[in-house]
Amino acid sequence: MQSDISYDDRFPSNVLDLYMPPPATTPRPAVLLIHGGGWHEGINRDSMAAHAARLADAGYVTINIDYRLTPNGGQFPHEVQDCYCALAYVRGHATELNVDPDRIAGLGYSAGGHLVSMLGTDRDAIVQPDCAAGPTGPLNAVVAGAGPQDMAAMPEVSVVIDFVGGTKAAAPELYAQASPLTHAAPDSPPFLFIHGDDDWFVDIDAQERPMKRALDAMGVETRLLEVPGGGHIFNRGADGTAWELPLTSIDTPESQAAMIDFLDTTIGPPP
Amino acid sequence: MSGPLALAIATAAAAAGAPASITASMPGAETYEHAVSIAVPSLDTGRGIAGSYEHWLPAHQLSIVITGEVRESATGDYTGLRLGTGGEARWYWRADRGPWLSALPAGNMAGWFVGAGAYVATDLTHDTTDHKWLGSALQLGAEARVGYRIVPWRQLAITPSTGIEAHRDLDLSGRLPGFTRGGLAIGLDVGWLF
Repeated sequence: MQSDISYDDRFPSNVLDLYMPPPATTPRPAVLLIHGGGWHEGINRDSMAAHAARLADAGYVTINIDYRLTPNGGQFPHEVQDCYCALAYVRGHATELNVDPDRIAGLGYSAGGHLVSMLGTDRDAIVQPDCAAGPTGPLNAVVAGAGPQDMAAMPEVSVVIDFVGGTKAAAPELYAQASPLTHAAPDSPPFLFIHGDDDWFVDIDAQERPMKRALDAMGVETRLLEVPGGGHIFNRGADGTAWELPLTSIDTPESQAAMIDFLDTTIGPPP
Repeated sequence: MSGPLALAIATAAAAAGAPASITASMPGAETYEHAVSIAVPSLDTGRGIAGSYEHWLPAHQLSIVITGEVRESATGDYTGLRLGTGGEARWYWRADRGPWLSALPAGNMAGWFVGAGAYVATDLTHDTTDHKWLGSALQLGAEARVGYRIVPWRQLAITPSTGIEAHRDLDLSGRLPGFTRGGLAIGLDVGWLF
């Protein structure tokens, strides 16, 4: 693993860890990992490190990023721009990383699920990166775990208000711009949604299901894996008789199996 | 136990429908040697159940617990089936004293306990859109917990517990490497002593 690589030297927070699979003679698919944490300071890319290592062992070049967070510069659209910048950095270094720039998927959970969904759907100039790596196209496939898709349908709590930059009443246009649902289009990449159906914070009925319906109606390939009884940070534990926390819906064996199959069938299996 | 007191307790127990397996393995206490419980988390939406059988060894204030689980573990565009079983040893270190919030006398598996156990589970995942199996996984785990069994009425047992658990997830297709993780476990069982 190569750690603390700056992808935008304007901001000390904007670094990534690179997990390289065994060498290959042909360009490899890659996965960009984006952590959650309510878009707010407190959680960083360490929370996705196990996923990054596991996907690298499965043959994917894996990029695990940090980005600006609220209240320290992360307010919309900066977090989206930062993630786009990291994607642009990977594509800009595709040759030296031996990555196929057209086979890059995103995996995120919670706020990270929102950000990868934005990187899958949004082509609006407002969130394109203004970093040296320059603008880039969307992800080629998206795995969104419990990611907000419609910011206006989120609970109006401080992390949401701080990220969007105001209340729903004060800034309705920002809530629309910050919502992947607004940007869903027929040329959106394939989406795999993974969501616990007992998640009270990011409600599946208000977020993933409407987004899936919208993409399905546009002919976009989608999958939805619902984890029965799964909450936002807890699930029924591995021994079955207890709740375990932290245990997210993307951590379950079923989700891991679905994720690998989805990556293999969308961006292609590693060589 | 004095004769009149024993007679009174036996009469009351019979009137309450108590089963015949009451023994007097500890002085001055009626002891229920068995318990069956359902894990409340297993009922938390979805289809499935986890339950346990517990056998009391009063001479050592120990019990042996056998658990079993079957549940639907994925829905939507997928189906998942999970099967699991495990075992746990519990020590009710204050069982020789009358437990708080218990209708039972001392000598029963009620009140504070600590436990340690291990379990194994397998998960099968199917893509219902493309009609293909995505493989199976094996989870091997261990846990330690502390809990308190309340017996508020007759032999009704309510058992909250908390502890830590660690498990290793193995992808039997070989596509993903093994994965070890741990966390806080929170349990709540409801059962019946007999």
